[in-house]
Amino acid sequence: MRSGSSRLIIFGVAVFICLILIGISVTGILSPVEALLSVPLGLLQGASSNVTNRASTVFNNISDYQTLQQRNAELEKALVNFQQEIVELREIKADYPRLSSLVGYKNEFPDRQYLAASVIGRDTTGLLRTIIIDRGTRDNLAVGMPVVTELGLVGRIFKVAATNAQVQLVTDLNSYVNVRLQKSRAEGSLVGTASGDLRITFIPLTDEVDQSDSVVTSGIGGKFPTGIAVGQLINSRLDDTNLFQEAQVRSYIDFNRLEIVMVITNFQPLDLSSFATATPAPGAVSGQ
Amino acid sequence: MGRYISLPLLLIAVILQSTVIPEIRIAGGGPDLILMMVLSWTMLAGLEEGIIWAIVGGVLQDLVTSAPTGTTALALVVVVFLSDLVLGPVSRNNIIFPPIIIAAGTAIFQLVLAILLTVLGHTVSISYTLSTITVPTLLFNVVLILPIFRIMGIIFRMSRPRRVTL
Repeated sequence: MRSGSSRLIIFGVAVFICLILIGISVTGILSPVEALLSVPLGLLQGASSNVTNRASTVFNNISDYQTLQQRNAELEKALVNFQQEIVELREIKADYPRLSSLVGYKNEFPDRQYLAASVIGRDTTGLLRTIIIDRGTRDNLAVGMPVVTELGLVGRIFKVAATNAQVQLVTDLNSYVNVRLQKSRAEGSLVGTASGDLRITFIPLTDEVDQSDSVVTSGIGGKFPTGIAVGQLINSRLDDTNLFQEAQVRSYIDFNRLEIVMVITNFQPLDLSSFATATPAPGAVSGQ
Repeated sequence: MGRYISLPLLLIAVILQSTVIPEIRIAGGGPDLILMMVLSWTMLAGLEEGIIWAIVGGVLQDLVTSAPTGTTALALVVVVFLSDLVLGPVSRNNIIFPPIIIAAGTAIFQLVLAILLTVLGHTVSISYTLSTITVPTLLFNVVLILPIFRIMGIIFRMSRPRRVTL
């Protein structure tokens, strides 16, 4: 049996080692080692994830059968409505080239390039909302690249190793995305909540917030491209300060069941940090 | 031997924790394999080996999350130290203490981890964590600790040299 003092010494040494590790990890000195170690871990996660996803799919298919039947009926109804809408949109599309040439509009952005990636891991703590994907610097991924699915925005890459990368989901408490309501054009800041839901904050009081309006990225701040779908408004209310409105958003994506995502590889996020170091002008507002 | 066997076992646990466990989460919580294995080994082998397991398990876990390396390790070290301080070594046939230790250990671990992440600049809702993540995790851990403690007991016995009577 160890004495109290030797226990304390062992504990003290262990705490010291951990604090040193945290210190060098936070300063980034440990990044090459972390990146190196995460390669074999990523490979093992990929293999395990494959098996888990297959098993999960089988169970989900069984349990989702009734839901799917109901959903199918709803979709058939919706399809009828959408067909009418498609006819109208085709008309608008036919008019678009002529109108755009009339106003001299030129598309400033080249076509987006996507790289598909499999989700091979999720945050183990439950406190942070992140996923790990099986692509890394070898596939020319870089920190800041937006990650999407066909249903909309997933998040952005914030840590990248040779063969895998960590993606901060938009539902994470530390995630901020500038967004716009599609009909009213009101703008706000999309943040994650502790429960994993999405909320738009800082919507000006003067802007009209239409329930069930669609939410897309606004591109303000240069961190995300413009016009990526984010979700749909559920409800809105005044925020705690009564100076702005805030609204709840339902994403089209089930973040707990993400399996394949796409990284937009040709989007270069803007670095606005140079503005932050300039002499602050009265009334200056920080960027995204 | 105990300190060397920690790496492969905890490696497997971390892989399962990041791929299989998210599929069976209830609310925000699921079983914490690393915590259960580390505390089980501490109860079986004592503080010194428990601390090694905590550091190895914590660092591996930090490699697959966005937390700075060492954060989870530090939270595990605190729990291991408190566990050994309060209880000390436990027989591998004991069925009373492991559930009690894992219940208290889960709550303390989540609280320490949430505080550490907050200090390191991450936004963490401590009240939400305790109510929505800690409670289901604690229940999972209390239910699963006995089989895991049993398995760890077998591995512990195999890792120790047998006594031979001449």
